[in-house]
Amino acid sequence: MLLALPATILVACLLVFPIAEATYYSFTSWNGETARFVGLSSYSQLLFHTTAIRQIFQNNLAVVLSIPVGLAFALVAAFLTSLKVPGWRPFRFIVFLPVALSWVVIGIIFSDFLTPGQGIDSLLGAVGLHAIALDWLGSTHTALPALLATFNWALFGINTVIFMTGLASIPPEVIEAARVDGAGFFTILRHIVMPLLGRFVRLAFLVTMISGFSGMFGLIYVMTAGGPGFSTTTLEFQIYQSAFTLGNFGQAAALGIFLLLIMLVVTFVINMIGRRKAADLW
Amino acid sequence: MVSARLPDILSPDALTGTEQLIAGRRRRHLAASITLLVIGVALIYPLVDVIIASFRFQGTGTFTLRYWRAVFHQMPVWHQLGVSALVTGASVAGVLAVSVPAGYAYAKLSFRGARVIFGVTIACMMIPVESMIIPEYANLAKVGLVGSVLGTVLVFVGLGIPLSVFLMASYFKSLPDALVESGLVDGAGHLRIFLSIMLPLALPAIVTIGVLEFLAVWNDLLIALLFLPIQSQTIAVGLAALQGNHILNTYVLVAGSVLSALPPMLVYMLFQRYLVAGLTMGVNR
Repeated sequence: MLLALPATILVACLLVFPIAEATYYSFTSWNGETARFVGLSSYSQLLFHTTAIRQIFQNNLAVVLSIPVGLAFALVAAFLTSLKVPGWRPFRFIVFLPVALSWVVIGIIFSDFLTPGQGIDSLLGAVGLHAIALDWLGSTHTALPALLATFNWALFGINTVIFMTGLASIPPEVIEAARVDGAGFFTILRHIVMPLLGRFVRLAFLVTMISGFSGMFGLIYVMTAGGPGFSTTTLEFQIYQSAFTLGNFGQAAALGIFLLLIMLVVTFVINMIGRRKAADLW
Repeated sequence: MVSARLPDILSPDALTGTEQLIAGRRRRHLAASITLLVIGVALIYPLVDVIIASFRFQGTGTFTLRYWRAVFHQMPVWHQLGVSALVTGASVAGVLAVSVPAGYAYAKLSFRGARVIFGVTIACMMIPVESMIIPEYANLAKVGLVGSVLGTVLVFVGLGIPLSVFLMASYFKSLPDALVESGLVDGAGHLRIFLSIMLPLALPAIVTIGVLEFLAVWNDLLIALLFLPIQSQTIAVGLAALQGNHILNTYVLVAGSVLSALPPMLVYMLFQRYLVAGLTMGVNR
């Protein structure tokens, strides 16, 4: 028991206690030092007051919705890699490489790549698409999609590797048996491969979500600073802004509790989907 | 066409004649290889493109090292790399020191409240950093630990514990109980068994969580930004701050970025398989 004591104390002081405090402070007007109880006012302000907050929630929704798209690409790549065709090892090395890069580095590289006249423009020009050369990060329409693409690019490799492990975990006999019983290719895919891969899909989704908290913050900080306007501000970034730019710690705490609730709801939904007969999903 | 993208074992024609099978497989493998090549090139292209550009004078074709030299004059890179190394090393050591014994305790010992405490610990994996960081900042400010390496390391260790304990516990659970029992029969205490029998066996898992923690801390922005003293920043924070200010030429920043990425890249190359193992360690149990 003593062996677990240091970890327990640290978790209690550094994680559990701050979350409890955040919950309390979200009901106060707090500047970091003195807190005055104001009930639900922070929350009602957040929910009913500003259009900015609506934009921010939409942006967070966009982040969550972009994840399945990224996962679908990773799944295709994992299928291909699982064939163990010539070149799969270098491929895995390359796609997994962004794991080693910080969000700051990725942000700096992609800011540069997406700058008008730089990498992406030359690339589009080379294939005759001069017409869609845009100021990707400078326009309210394209800044968020550009960030989401960068985000999913960075996590593509992790998810590919998770799915590869998943595919490798399916016993060949199971598939063989199904084929002997006359199951066609798509039947096997839908009723055997996908259900058995279910928990890996859940894992990949959650890993991406959790990475999103530090990841999107880093990318936004480096690439757009939340702009133009609020077009790339997410809850994570607004928490930082509220507390350290505006000095409104109470509002920041309330936003943090919102973020936690969103995380819990998404986790719950993902687990519910997993617990249903997985085959229904596909 | 679809079958060309899927493992042989799944393809409907895998039971046709052997020769046809081999020929078909070759064709499919070639198609798959080419597809992988295309995806790989597309993925790596932005990186390579930007890095090559950092060696060219103002976007022309002329080769130059000026941006790479400028990094060393315009940024305190050595100092920042040193801070990154110090904070990362201390955090990895801290996380290992508390998580490995805890993982063992939850996997092999039964004590009152173990289930609940373990449950709460791993549930903390789901806490978004931003949700707890504001009160954490206020708390550490009260005890004078904001703006210090110690405070920063404490926050990193706290954040690293849940996943590390979870992975260590999963790993220790997979080791046979008989090892512990035979130790007890021989009269060794639990501490002794942990140190001399279990610890050496757990080395792969220890390396895995060490690598995960290394990458998380080295690459972090938010914690270092808030908790380190302003004059001693990690290289990640240094780069991010300069990017925001638009003071430096972007290619100087690119050069700095590549430089900052060298240590984690080295770790990645040496320990790739531990990382792969760590990603999916918990999922099968």
